[in-house]
Amino acid sequence: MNTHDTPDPLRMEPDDLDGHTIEELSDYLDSGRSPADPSIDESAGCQIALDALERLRVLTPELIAADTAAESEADEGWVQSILAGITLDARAGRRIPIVIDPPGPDAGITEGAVREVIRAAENTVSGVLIGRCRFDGDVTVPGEPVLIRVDVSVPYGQPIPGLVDRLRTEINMRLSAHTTLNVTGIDITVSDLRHPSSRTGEER
Amino acid sequence: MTSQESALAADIEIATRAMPGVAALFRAGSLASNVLDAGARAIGIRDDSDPLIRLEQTPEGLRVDIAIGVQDHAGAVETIRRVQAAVRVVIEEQHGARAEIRITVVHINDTTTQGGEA
Repeated sequence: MNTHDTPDPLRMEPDDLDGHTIEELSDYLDSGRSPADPSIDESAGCQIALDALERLRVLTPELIAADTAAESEADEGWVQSILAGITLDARAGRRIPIVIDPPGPDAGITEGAVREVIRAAENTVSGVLIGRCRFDGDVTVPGEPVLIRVDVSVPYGQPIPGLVDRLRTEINMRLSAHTTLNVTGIDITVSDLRHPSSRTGEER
Repeated sequence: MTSQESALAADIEIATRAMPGVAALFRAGSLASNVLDAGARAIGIRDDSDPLIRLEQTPEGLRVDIAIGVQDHAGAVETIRRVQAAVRVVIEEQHGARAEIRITVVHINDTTTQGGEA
């Protein structure tokens, strides 16, 4: 079995984002992507990172302020994990074959795009945030069994089994539409429970 | 790239962009070649309007390399099928011979966020 993730995903090489940094992309979002920067707009890695940053802002504006002193250590750890996931997503990674029937072109999707597909599933399950995402199995070999493992953060007070089931269904549906991977299972680990009042310092 | 190849690449690009589900076209090729390409464009020896499609003459024949972004709702598998069919028609009409077509999805355009167009 071949587990593929990156030991230290926050360490970005300049080429991962075609010479840009997460901070620059964040500033680009702040400016409403204006003036347009072709070196960002034409970079798939930057687009993946921008989408993820934007989702993060929409879903959890309080997490964006996590570098303020008010945040707890545990919260910062989770934010680091989310940012690590984004930077990892932005890497193209391996080329995963897409098997077209009848056989035609040499078709594929980058590993970064597949991670993006999985991460975007959080849009449909309110409050869930996806952190690390790993593939167990050789995704470069068509038909090879692949187990998907994701770590998630969920909001306190919502039944976890229901959230996890919905997320699993959504990930499975999305992978079927965008890949021809032989997914044998989707393991979801809830590694963080978020208490809303601890984020903002306000009592509810 | 010869002018004939440039014209073919441009037509393939138009056909690809016209396919439902295609959100954007990205510069095809390896990271290294794209870095060189970006450098060439930065110092003005390559035009920004150059085709994003990569054409290569190999001993086996023409090879076409395409990198696309796909609309989330359209599905990468279905979109690749459409692009492949459209590109094959263009190549057969203009090139008159079969070619190896390589299509890679490099980005899924999340419809809930503001995706940029390449």
